[in-house]
Amino acid sequence: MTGGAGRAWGALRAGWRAPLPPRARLGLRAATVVACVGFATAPYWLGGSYYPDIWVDMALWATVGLGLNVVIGFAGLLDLGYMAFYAIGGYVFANAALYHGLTLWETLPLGAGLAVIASAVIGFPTLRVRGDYLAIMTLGFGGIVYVAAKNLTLVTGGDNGLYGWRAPTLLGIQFVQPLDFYPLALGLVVVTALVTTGLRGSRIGRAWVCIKDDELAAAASGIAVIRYKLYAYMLGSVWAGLAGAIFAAKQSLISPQSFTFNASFFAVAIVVLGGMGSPAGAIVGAIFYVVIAEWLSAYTGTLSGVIFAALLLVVVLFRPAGLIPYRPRVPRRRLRRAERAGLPGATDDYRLGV
Amino acid sequence: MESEPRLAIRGVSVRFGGVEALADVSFEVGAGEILGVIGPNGAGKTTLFNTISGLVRRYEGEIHLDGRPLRGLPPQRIVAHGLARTFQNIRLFKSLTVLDNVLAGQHRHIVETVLDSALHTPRYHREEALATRRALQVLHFVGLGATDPGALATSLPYGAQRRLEIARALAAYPRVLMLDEPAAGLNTGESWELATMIRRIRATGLAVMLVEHDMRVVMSICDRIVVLNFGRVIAQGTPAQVRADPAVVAAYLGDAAQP
Repeated sequence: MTGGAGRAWGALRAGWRAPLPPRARLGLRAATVVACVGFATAPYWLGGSYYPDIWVDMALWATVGLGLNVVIGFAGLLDLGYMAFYAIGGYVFANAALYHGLTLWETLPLGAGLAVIASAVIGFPTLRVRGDYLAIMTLGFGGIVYVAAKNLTLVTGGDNGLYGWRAPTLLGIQFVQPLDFYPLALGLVVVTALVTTGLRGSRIGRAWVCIKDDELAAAASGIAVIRYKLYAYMLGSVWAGLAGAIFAAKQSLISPQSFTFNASFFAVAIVVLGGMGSPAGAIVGAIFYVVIAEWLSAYTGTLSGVIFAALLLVVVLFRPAGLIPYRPRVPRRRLRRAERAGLPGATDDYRLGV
Repeated sequence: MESEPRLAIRGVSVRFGGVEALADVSFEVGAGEILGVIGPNGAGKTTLFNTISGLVRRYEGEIHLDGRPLRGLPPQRIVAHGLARTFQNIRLFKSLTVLDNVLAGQHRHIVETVLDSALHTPRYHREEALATRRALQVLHFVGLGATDPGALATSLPYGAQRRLEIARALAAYPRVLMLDEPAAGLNTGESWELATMIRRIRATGLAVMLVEHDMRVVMSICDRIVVLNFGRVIAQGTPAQVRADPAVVAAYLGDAAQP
């Protein structure tokens, strides 16, 4: 690269990473609010009949990204079989709706519950291994669930899948069109974002990040490493279970094609693209993914895969922390309150109140 | 005074394959005491720390903390029994803030269920507020009171990172504190500040164990010293006794320690 271009490129990269001035931060916040409201209402004023699936898919993938972010972004566990829990949620819904006449509302907790149980059963033996080995084992688990979905015809309908349940209703309103599920899926995104962000700022979330940073130091700080990895796995899979159930209900058909390795790979890509550990990043990553993989592919065909891969490469190379990197949140109000309470105390003891 | 030692090591031996890393090591540490562990490189000092803190699980002999046997316990359970440590090469949580590093040290003292954490219940806010105040007190104690608690731990200068690691260990409210070469990489001024801080820690009634190569620090603050060589205790006693011991002089101190 020539000197001038190199310098310009360097400045661009530096500018990308520099913290924003306060005024710009305020503007960014306002823009975020506008974008959120825009996305929440877009399908209605853009005309609902146009690509209605895209909006619900964005919300479902955002939920998947947020859930997987707990596992990969917080606890640092590379999970390449995450969509297995999505599949479990979906098949639980389909079976409950088809054979037991349960409504979507009764099925949601059931799907989430079974996803959590499955994650505990799988996580308990596998979370003892680290890094690459864990990735391989989760990859295997994802593969097993896919093969099971294809062959356990009795509960999954095999390659043909399951379909033909009655459309769910709520307060007399039937959920028939994909867009009918949009408020529900959006609500799930909000709940997932709030809960996972809440977890990050608490004892359990800190423990996860400690484990990601340094397992030995985490154990030496009193953290039960394997148990907390299991918590991350379980609290990450809940959301996939819920999203999977809504996905099946929206599709009004569920088949193994939705749960191939590709799906799990794209879930990881969404988290990496958005920013590991960053809930906002997971949402933005999901939007990018759906726009490119679903909307753009209608025009470009398989070329959209190349475009997505190129985007991923550019982000990994030039913005390794993701599109919206995680920024540690400092509890300013809590700190101010502590100061008002008359701290810090004397220096002759590290314990409080001496 | 307590009659029971805080930490009692009795006949501990550790083998790594054919190598005897520790051989029949015995000593005790009492409350309000600073015990120094010295010895040449490879003498088994770090193995001793790793064995006590549960990172090395296969050993002969007995280790008791407050009279309770530690055998078979994983590191996090040993922390719960009242032992905290630092590492020779600083091991802070690099993507956590200064405050969060100290809060992580308090892991076992924060009472939150998963539901409290997920939903930020009143108990969550109560516990986090208390933990934050405790953390600020610990930071103040180690001399990081003026540091921005929201800064990333790894953005601190080296000496401050050493202090932060000690703060994290103190935040566990241990009964025994083990410091693995806390003065490594510090300049003379920082080393003396550290020595003063370790004395203040002792004054709170903690039992402190210290592996250190800086002899001036060791000799000035330790109440007793254990000297290891090839995994064996070759001498123990007050700094004056150890300094005068011919076996110690031959093995380690050399001429530099002679008055």
